[in-house]
Amino acid sequence: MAGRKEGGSSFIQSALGRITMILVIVVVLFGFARQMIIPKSFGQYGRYRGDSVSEVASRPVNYAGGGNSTCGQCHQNVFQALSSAEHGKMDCQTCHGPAAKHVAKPSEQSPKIEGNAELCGACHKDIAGRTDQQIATVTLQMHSGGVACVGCHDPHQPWAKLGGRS
Amino acid sequence: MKKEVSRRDFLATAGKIVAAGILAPLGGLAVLQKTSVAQEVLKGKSWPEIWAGKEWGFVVDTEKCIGCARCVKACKLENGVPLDKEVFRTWVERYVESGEGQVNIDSPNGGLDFEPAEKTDGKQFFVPKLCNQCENPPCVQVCPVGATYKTGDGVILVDNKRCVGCRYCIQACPYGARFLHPELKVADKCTWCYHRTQKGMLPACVTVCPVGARKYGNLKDPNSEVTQIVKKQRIRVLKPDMGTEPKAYYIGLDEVVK
Repeated sequence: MAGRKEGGSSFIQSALGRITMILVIVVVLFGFARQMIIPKSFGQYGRYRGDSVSEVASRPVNYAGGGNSTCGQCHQNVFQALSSAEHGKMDCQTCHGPAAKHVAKPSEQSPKIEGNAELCGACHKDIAGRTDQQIATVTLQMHSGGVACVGCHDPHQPWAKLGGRS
Repeated sequence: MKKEVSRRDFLATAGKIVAAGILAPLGGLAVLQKTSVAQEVLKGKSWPEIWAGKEWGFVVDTEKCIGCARCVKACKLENGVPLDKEVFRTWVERYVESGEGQVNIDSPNGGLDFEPAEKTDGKQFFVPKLCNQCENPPCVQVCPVGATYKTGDGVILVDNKRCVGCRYCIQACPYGARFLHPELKVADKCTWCYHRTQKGMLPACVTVCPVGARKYGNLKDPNSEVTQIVKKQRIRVLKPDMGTEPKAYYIGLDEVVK
């Protein structure tokens, strides 16, 4: 003990000094590691990465949000026909599919509609759980025998071709 | 003569060094946070400013729902959930009670493939389901990495850069509203179309619902449709006994609905 004290005169070489050194290194390394591992905006608004909110909010939209009047700006006739008919309160995209890209650049991309009995049947097929009080239902095979619905019913004015609803 | 270091001095010095070691990086962190890009978004407003005075709510009218599942399809197309995989942000369940009080529940392909099924004497109805954006979300509590969180306007979001796909949240949700995204391999769930609503649009499912069975709005706005419904109509939430305090309210919800 005595010899060591004479040889190492500085604090760093003492037992306490060495422990202090190790402690300092550990703490500094911890500090750096913490800063590296935790994302920059973590904890900004709560226990999560604050930037994530903007990332989620800025995702692209596929269904346009302007309502049917947006479509009506170009498709005036069909918009007029639809607005007073049975399907008038529905959004065009319910049947026609997502159209945000079409609204942004009409000439580049058009929504593709599956104009088959299956599309109409999604709402009008007679299935358990669906009542005639809610919606007009049909058994597809018995109603048309497989003929496409649009042959008789114009979806924008379902009864127009048939001389009105009887 | 070497100066003896007393225990008191050592502890004092060591304490200062430890404190400095911890505080220095934290200080750096605080500076970085202030310059975050999140502050610049959406018309230069900060998120706390955008969130002020907002608490989003959802109303599902089960009496209007006809089980057409247009919402299910629109949701998948809007949010990049594969159409051919059995995972759903929103889905429609059908409840068919037979005369003897037995209840059959089905939701084939999330409601996209309902078969005619036999009509019975009992109750028959559809119940659309989606994330309830709970006031006390169990999914947020269990996330070990802070990858899912509740925003200031009450919507639960997933940070898909931070999510490690451990599936704890999927287990924790009492409503089965979460799933592992088959392509991204991170937890995914309904956000009430946060990316649309923050741009002033309605959620995709609300937009396409042909019968107006889905309604979305601000619960803190006394004149909004959802506030009026919650205030004046007979409503119920799913599994109220779980204490999650859902913010999706159901009109005409039968007691057999789980």
